[in-house]
Amino acid sequence: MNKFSSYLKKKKPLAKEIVEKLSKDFSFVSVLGTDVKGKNYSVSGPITGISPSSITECGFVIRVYNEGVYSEYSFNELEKNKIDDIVIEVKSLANTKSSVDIVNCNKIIEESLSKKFKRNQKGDILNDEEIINKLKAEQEYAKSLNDKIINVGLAYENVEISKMYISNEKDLEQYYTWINPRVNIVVKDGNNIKYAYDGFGSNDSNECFNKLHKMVKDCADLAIELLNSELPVPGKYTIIADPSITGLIAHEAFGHGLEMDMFVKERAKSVEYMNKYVASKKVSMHDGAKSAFSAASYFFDDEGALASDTKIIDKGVLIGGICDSVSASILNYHPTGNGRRESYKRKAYTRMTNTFFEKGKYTLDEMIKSVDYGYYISTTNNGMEDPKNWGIQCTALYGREIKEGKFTGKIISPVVMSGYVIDLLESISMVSKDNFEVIGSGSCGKGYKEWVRVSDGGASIKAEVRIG
Amino acid sequence: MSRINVILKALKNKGVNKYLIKEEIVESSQCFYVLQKLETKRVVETLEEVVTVYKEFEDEKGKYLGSSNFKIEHKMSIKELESAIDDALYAASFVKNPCYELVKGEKRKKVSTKCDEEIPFEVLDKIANIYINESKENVKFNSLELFYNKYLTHLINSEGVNYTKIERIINIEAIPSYKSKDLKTELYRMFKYNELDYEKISKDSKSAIDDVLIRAEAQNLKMKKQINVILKDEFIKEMFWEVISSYDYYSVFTHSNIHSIGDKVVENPQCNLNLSLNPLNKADFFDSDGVLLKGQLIIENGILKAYYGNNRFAQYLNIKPTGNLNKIKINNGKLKENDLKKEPYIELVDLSGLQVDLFADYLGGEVRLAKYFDGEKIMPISGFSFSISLKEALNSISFSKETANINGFEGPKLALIKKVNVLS
Repeated sequence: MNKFSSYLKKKKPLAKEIVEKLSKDFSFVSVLGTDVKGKNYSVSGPITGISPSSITECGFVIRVYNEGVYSEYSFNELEKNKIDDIVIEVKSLANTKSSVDIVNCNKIIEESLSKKFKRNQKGDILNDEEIINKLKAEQEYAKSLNDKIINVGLAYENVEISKMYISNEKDLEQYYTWINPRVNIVVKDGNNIKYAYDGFGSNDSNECFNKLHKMVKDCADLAIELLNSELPVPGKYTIIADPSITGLIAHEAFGHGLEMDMFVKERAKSVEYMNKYVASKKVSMHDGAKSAFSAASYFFDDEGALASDTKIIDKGVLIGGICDSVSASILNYHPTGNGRRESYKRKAYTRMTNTFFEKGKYTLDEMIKSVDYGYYISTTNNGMEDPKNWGIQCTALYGREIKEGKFTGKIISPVVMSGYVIDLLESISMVSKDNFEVIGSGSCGKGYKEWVRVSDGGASIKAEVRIG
Repeated sequence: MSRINVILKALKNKGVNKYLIKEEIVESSQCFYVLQKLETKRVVETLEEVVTVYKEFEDEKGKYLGSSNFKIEHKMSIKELESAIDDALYAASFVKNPCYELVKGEKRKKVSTKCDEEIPFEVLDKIANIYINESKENVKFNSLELFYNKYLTHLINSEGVNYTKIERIINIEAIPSYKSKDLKTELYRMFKYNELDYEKISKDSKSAIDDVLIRAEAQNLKMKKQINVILKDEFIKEMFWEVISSYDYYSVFTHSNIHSIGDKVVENPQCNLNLSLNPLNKADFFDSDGVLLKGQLIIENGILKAYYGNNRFAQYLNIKPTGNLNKIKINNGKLKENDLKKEPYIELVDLSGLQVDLFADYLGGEVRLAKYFDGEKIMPISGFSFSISLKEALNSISFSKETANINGFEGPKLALIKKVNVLS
């Protein structure tokens, strides 16, 4: 724990040798090496589990540029005696002919940089036994809260990420850690079964277990409340979004549409709206590995571009996008440190990192009091982007009814919100100065694949949406 | 010495007598096209093993079987492997799970899907040309990603399981896009083929183009009403996976199942639901525990007949494991497509994602493209949402006589649900 991968360190001279050998034939060569270690600890009913984290990976990807096309070779066996075979494989791939025309990409231009980055895990370093015992104690606590609780699932995923990036210009290393605790509680009353869940992220083990205890209680209370939930009556409503729903809206509404590989593919409607109003003047939005400290706060991306903070919307005006290195080479733009891979086995795309709406000037209390009739919507379930047509679908676990500025006690579940992005963003009439959070427990796909860890959030917003 | 043999030797050295090893070799060739031009070519070649070690222990309350696993992603020495096994055994000693037996192996077996000796990049080139040839001046595939994947999965356990399967899977992600002076629109399409079938690929690429042309003509219709809604094969598949999700052994073990065996699941004489789970393809003959797979009837004439799931939870429930089955098969109906479409309806073509929540009793979603029949004419519409109670949907559902066979689903081509709320 708290050490850059010794395996990658050992393989670094070999990666440099590959770059040197391939540079005789190709004007751009890079090697990304990854060693992501971690465990997922879980308890669910009487069952316990300790298994590798789902994002565990260890391998390499070589990228070369050849006559307007990029070629990549992903592999996980890098030995001195295999280097010549690897070089032959990459050359053969790069020289494979296609009957289809080529894009004619430009070559990625890099500035020289050699640097090592490190962010250690905070808090106690816990062993397997200590983590399982803490989870079991929380499970017992949850079960004691209500007789209607029939299953309590808890998980604690702890990962250490080591990556190195080698090219003719760059020699980078980074090490950082992240922890994701998660809770899932199922309750039953006769034939009525409901569930509630929650999760968060941190790089501090002590903070994780302190927060988890409160989350278990909140989750159990919510699950019991949901036994009395109703399906929403389809219609248009005023909503106040909690930070997770604000984040989901930011992510699905604008985040995907501002991934600039979508510009190259002519898939983004946002191109037509650059430097124009796309939202209420109360809205400002960011994305970047450096824009907040959360699940996607790395130091450099999977193409060796340094992390940054991109302001996407400034007081309602669309001002910028996020960009990977290949798309930047085609668009004559600059990489923003958003080139990410699901793993070394997959292609890099422009991807979001930490996406959120800035704080506003109202208190949450003032916002709730301002609602004649509507819902306070909480807890992200899922969402889907539509970058060209700007449709939006965001699904939340539940909503609390507000009448004349007060909660009535009525609860609806699930809440499927949909509409047209601009209508939704223009309808934002209040943004909170409190209730701000960037939640580092999410994963995001591009379409239905290429899953990467992301965070999103922001302050509460008041908006008009279609539910049902 | 092969990697598997090195692992077996290390397990023996550490005295591990219960284990499971899954070895996976992946060979993947990939092409990425932007605006129908080649941007990136990729090759992936990896060999990985996941080793699970089991540890038996007991206390005054009974016997337990702990387990933990680790991944091997590159060559390791015997010493490194032994150290990884020690770590896993240590972890397993805190995994105090009720006892169960590992799957006992039958005769060593190896099955492969039909796999001609082709050059992957030539296959991808041919598929790209099929797609490009379908495009027209104002309708193109702005993004096209092609994957030719070969997976070899070898499973060994301490009880004699020794099975291998080789699968070749073609994955395609395509974004058919329409562009005119006044309008730009697109759809998202993802296809998975267990066998290389150029005819099917050609048909799917054509339908992707046809659908985006329809979306280009779609109107945002103002409406708030109840109407019959027609689902196509992929939505029927998603809906019924959710319907049966609480009948798996884990849900039953944790008392989270909505019905018990013998319960009426669907109160609907019109569809007389028969649903079974089956292996995905010829090579899909064992699951990740080594359970040999065969079809299992889950619902017969609307009544729950069997639960399903993996080896461990089957033993906890004292029933025979079905293994993890990945293909859902549903009976077709009596009504022809034309009969389902006699009254006004909305036929869903493309959604932002079908939302089905069994416990909240909800079926719905945002519709990106649909065909609306008002009783006289059919018109493409978009930009609305639909919702209905899942129970009500099941109690009014009718299946078409025409059938469909797509990845992970065999059953009716269409299903009609009555009185669905739509709102724009």
